[in-house]
Amino acid sequence: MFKKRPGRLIPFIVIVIIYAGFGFWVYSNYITSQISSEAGAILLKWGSRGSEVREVQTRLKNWGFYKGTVDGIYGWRTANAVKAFQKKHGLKADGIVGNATAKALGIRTGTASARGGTSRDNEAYTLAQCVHGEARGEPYIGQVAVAAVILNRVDDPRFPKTIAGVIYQPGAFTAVTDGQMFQPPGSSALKAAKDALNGWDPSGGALYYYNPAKTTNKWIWSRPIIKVIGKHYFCK
Amino acid sequence: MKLFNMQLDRKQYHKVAVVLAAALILAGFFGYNTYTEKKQYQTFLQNSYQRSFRELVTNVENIKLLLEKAEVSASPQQSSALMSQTWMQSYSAAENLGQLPITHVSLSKTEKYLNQVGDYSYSLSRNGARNKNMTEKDMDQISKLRAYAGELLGELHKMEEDVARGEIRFGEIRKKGRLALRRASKDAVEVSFGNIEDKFSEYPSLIYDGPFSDNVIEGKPKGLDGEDVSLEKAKEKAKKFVGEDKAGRIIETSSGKGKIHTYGLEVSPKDKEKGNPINIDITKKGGYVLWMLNPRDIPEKKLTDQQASDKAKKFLKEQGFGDLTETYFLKNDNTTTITFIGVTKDGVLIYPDLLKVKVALDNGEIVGFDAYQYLMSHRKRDIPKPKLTEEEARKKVSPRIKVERVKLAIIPMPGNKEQLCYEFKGKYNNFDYFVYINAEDGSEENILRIIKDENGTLTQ
Repeated sequence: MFKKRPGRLIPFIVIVIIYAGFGFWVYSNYITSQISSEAGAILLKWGSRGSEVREVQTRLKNWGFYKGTVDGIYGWRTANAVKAFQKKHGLKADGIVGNATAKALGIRTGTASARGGTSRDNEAYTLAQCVHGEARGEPYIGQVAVAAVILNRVDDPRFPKTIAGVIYQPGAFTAVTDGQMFQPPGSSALKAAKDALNGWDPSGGALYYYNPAKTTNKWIWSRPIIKVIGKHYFCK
Repeated sequence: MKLFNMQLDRKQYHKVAVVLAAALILAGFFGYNTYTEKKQYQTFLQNSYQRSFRELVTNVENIKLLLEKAEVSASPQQSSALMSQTWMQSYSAAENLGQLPITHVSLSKTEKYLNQVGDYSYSLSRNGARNKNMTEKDMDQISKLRAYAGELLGELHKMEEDVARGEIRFGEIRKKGRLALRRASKDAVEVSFGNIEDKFSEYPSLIYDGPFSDNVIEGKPKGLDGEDVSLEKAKEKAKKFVGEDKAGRIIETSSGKGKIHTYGLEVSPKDKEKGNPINIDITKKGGYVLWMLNPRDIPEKKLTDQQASDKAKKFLKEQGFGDLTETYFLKNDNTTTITFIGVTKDGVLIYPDLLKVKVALDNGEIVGFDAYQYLMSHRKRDIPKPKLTEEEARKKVSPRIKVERVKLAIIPMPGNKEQLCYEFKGKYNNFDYFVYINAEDGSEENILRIIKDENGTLTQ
């Protein structure tokens, strides 16, 4: 039968290929979602800004890969430097700082610092996770301020009385509701959480914050604004 | 397209049909599984919401009953017991309320009520334990709180009925999914809680000795004096603080309108290649530095604890801070954060006047400074003479503690108050403790346990 009319099998094969293609599409979607959430700890690419970019630039500059200024902005110079670095270290030269590249650069990924043991360390870690989910990409001070808002809530009678209570209050933080929080925090979020726990409060005692470009909640707009840091408005 | 013009014979039709049917069955199976799983999760969520809600109702019932009893209690012991039960019930009520899937806006007043009842009853139970009877003012506030408990309970009972009849379901917010995240959705539960909030609109402000008392929340800074300064002057201050040699361009990023009004400044380093911009907030009134943070990377640790502490002290002296003494420190990420408190010429420690300095352990640079508490409380104080002698106070300390050192100290008390105490530092069971004995009436005001490890000292 195969020898006689091989052409007859073609529609059948086509259908199998279509199914296989569909299956592969679903699978690859799943894989990429896995990868991006894994790499969520540090994923810097063209257009990223902030202290983590600065860290990458400083290191690349020290090793002679990067010639530009350390400005915390991931532009083409940074991308090229990252590519050069990746080539030299046998990594995929895509110009994106994911987990593997970050490790090669010697930048601490969040998971490494989850150790410790005292409850204060664990508190700092949870706080950092929330900060990372809510404010990665914001300037460092903005990250400290977000952590400070959480701590200000703990001290306010209108909110739950523990850090975990405030963070997990239903609907309180978008990053908690949509699960973005459950990633290892970056080093800058961890540092910010510790600074806030040590008492620094750049928010000026704020209890709420919002990104005016993303919020349609009328109630929050009516709150008196205390401070503007990065993209966030902090208010009472 | 030659491919599609091809004819399939019977056998091949058969094969295709089998493959398609198998796929369909698989998909159906998968769908059903997902559906039942989702149902299970929903039920689980629903149940835990129900539990929180029912527990909340019970808690409020108990609060109301306990407050009713407290109104007619005449002995301090009995009121103290009633008040500590109220404290526990309102704490648990607030916990349960915080777990309901309702936006914060519709329950902030209820939450505040519950937390204040708890906080207030705690301070009353402490008074009762000191054999102090409740004052008329306390009684008045208790009956007001009891009336609100009644109102709250009425609404909760109405909701409970609706829930029992299945008219309200919790977690309807969850069902609507993402939309609800962006917009405060108005579902039945929210509306009911909105009603409760309206009833709380005339809720009086409570004044008592506790951290959630309204006068504490609205406390004003005491350490700010002088005229308002201009932005130029603030920039000058910032430059001086960071160091003339290091500071480059200074821009105003954001002014603060919190409890202390500030100019938010960003100081760029002179040598752009080296270092980060430094953030610094200068108070509008008086031009004091409120806080400073330099988030630069600190790759290594070279300084010893002693060297770091010397650097911090030298810095404070240069900035014109007078009598301060170092208390505890905390190390992380190659920095050490040292806490300083005020001290008088006679050696009385002033704990409310608290400053923090963060030293980079690679070169001793000051990378952080926080004076919020100092500016909130620092002023010229008249320190009273202690009524008790050291010997008398020592008798009040537990005999289990081996006292090593005694000092006089002013400590912060609930309700923005301060109290002169004897501070006894001692050891029990290999742990260090601080015990504070009121220098006026000899009562034991506070006990702190000290946790020490290589990364610093903490009090609990």
